[in-house]
Amino acid sequence: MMIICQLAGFLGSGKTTLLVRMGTELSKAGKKVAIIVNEVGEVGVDGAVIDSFGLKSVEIAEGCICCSLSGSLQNTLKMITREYQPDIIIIEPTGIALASKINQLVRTSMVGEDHMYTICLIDAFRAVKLFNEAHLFLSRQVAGADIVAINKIDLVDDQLRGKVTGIIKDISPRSKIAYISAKEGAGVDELTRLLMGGEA
Amino acid sequence: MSENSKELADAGSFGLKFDFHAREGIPTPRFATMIEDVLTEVGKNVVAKHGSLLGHIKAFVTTPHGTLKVNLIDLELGPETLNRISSPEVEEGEVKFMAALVGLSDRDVEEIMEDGLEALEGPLDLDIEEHEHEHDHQH
Repeated sequence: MMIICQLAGFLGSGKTTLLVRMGTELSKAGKKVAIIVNEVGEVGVDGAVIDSFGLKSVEIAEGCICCSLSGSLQNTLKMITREYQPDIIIIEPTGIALASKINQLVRTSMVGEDHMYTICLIDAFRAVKLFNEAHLFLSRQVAGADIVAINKIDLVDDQLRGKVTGIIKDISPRSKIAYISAKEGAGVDELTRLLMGGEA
Repeated sequence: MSENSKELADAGSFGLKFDFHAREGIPTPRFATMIEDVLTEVGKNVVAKHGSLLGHIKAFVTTPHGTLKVNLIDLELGPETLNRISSPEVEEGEVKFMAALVGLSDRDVEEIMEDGLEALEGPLDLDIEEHEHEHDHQH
């Protein structure tokens, strides 16, 4: 069985931190994990970070895989599937990608995945400010995610957590909501189990 | 696929890579603070230019004795650092430095980042890798 998981979310939402935790846990559990990481800038930092934790990633830089580099994503998916035959492919797009467009690209890549999930991370600490300043764009990032993972819960109190939950439920009422701290590890095991158990 | 997400987000980005050699060994905690200060300076200049910091500034340093990761997404929180350099001093290494920021052009981001790096040019010799740009500008 092959799962494709997209870890989406705005700039600085904690995608790479979560990816390293999930990738490490899945590898320890004996799963073959392949990682595709995309950065909009000329120089990729996230691929180097991921590799420094002993994981292997394919980095696509200098553009966004949901639009200008869509062909690169599809070719990379095909290459990884053919040559590595992973149990799970985790895609970390740029922080300005639109998850729905990447889902569409994965589907039309025809790589034979059994399940495709999108987890959209929200930075609980900055969410209110971000939605105030870029509501339309962030709403497009969140809408349709299978799971919205409200991250950095170690930095917020219950009141702010509730407020952020309300914002997400208004935008994407059908998404499951998970509360995590990718940095501290809270909630990450459960999120990984949801994913691998086909419950996402 | 005609939409361009970078335009939709009104974001600019820039990244550069450079090797460095310290003129004399720098204590590792001091070196980490130097990198944090560069990111903080960039963050302050972003706020001065745009009014707020909406995005991500990050640096990843590779040395013969381990790595240093520094992120800045919010000036109130300050830089977040993961220091995995095992040696007491840093003498040489490679830095990958990038930022993606809402409300600024690629050119704005490039200028702000290059200004931020000036603080390193006293204690370090920097060998910045040239990169072809899609946009036109004059140095």
